[in-house]
Amino acid sequence: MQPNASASNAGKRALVYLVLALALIWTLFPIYWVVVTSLKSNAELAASTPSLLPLQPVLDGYRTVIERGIPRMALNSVIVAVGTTIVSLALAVPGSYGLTRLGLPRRIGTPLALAIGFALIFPAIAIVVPMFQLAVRLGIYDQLGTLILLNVPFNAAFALWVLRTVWMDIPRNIEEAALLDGDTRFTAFRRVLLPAMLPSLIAVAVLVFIFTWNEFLFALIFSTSPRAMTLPIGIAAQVPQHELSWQIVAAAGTVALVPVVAATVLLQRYLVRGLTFGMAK
Amino acid sequence: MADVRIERITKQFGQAIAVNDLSLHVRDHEFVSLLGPSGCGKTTTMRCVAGLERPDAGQIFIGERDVTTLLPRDRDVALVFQSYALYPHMTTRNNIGYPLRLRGMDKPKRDAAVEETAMMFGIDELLERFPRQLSGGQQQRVALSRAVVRQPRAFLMDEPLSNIDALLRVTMRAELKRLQQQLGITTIFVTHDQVEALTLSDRIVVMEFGTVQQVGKPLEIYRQPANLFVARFVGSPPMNFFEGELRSEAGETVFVSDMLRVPVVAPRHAPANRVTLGVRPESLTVESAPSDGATRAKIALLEPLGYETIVHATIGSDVVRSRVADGEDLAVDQDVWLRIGSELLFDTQSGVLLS
Repeated sequence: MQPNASASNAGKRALVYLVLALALIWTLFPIYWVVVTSLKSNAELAASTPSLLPLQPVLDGYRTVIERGIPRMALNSVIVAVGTTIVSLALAVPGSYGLTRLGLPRRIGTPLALAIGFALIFPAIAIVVPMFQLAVRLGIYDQLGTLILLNVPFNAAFALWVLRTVWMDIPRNIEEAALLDGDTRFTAFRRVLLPAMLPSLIAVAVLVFIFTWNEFLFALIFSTSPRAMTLPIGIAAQVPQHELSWQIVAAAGTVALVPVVAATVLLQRYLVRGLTFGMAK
Repeated sequence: MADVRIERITKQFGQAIAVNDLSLHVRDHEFVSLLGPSGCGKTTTMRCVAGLERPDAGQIFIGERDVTTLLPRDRDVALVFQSYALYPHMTTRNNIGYPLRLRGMDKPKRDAAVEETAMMFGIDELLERFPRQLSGGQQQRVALSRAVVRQPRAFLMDEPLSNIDALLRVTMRAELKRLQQQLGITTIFVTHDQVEALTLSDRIVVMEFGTVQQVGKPLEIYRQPANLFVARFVGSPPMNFFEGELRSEAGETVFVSDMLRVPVVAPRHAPANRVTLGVRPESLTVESAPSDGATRAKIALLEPLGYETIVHATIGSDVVRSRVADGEDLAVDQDVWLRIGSELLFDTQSGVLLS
């Protein structure tokens, strides 16, 4: 019995590893392919049998990308993503604290949370046209600040919903202990609660950053010149503008990948937590 | 250190009255337990003293100071929570030192105080660990250290022993008693566990429905429960009760029920209505032969505990419990005769103790 059982266990393990390997290839290969493509010469890209590695790596793609103003767009993306993250968290942290800790009666607190949560399912496309008209009237279209303003509602609502569950997981007694130890509500918040929730806060920040980094619709509609154009728009613009150059598209894509991959690798232990918020411990 | 005076406080949550016009004076250096079932208002009362709840009416004094409207931080009391409530991102050292840090004590003095307290609780080896790296009992000691280190005017403890396993609870119970004797800090201890209350307290406050049912020394509470609620709640196994009436027979007062006839000491105020006779299990002796005044019963169940045996016997349809030192010669279904040693009489309707 036992050798058989361990054989079938080994078989199961092999199957698990096989599935994991396939999933890994499925997710990582496109990234690999974009990076490799960005380093290949046009001649090599034209070859009928593509090679897994560039035979003679060239930086032509990156040179063109720089010429076409992609760095400026990357900077715009950074400004919009960082700005949105900061503003969203500045709203969501006290907001979620208030919703869960200020003793709101349930008949007020629950509808309020649901109303805020509605922002998460509201289709952006439905408001984009009136919003654009409004921006034109106010003379604030084609500005980075406006993009931040547009990205904040969704992301602040998302952050608030996640942080709400985080607050609910932090025992009230911890805050009460701090109040008895000599804190005021505010200093207890700053010195005890905020540090205690920091890992979750980092996870939410990374997610908001990535959402905004990838945001396309608002950026497409509201930026009419390079001064407010973000990376996704810039990359998309490479496609029809001249002849389709995979080298250039791939180089711009690689630029867009760098911060997301870096953030994911650096903060992955927080991200795992971030993706499992509110789940049973 | 100081006394704590609670004067006629009431606290409502919506329609529910958690504490109802409650007054209590905890003397300086005294260890007082608030004992009662869950929902009796004991925790709310303590939280009012801590300042975590504000009473709707009434006043609270710590020492000479009226603290009713003061913030928790200005009351100089320490609270030990059932869940310990350690700061998860701080080491043991910083957890214990936190209240001192907030009082502006400089680091060398703080460290000395923290180390001294940690030594007292035997956790001086754990100062650089985080709460998640500690066992439940160790976390408990950190929580106690954090309360002790600041030398508060009063200690408040909210079921501090309920989250640790049974074996450790007995150790910690003794340790708490030693601590209280050593430091002499005024302590209010909230518990639903009568053994904790009986073993630790100078006085016990038994609560139900947001009101005080009885205040007294542990043995007073046990021997002279003020009413049926206290009599039922304190004591394990619980007191036996028989409903019946008092009759005067040949100059003697006799308690009479369907199954029992027991001569009793006449209460000062004989009630007009029915009475309840209460007998502690240890006051009910089990005899194997009939004799005058003993009541026939049948053994239904035996619970040997080693040092004693709990005998469950049926008198008619009533089940009564007796504790006997030596139960080896008893057997289930055996006929026995029960004799009542000492008894208490309660007014059935009002529940008040008559004897």
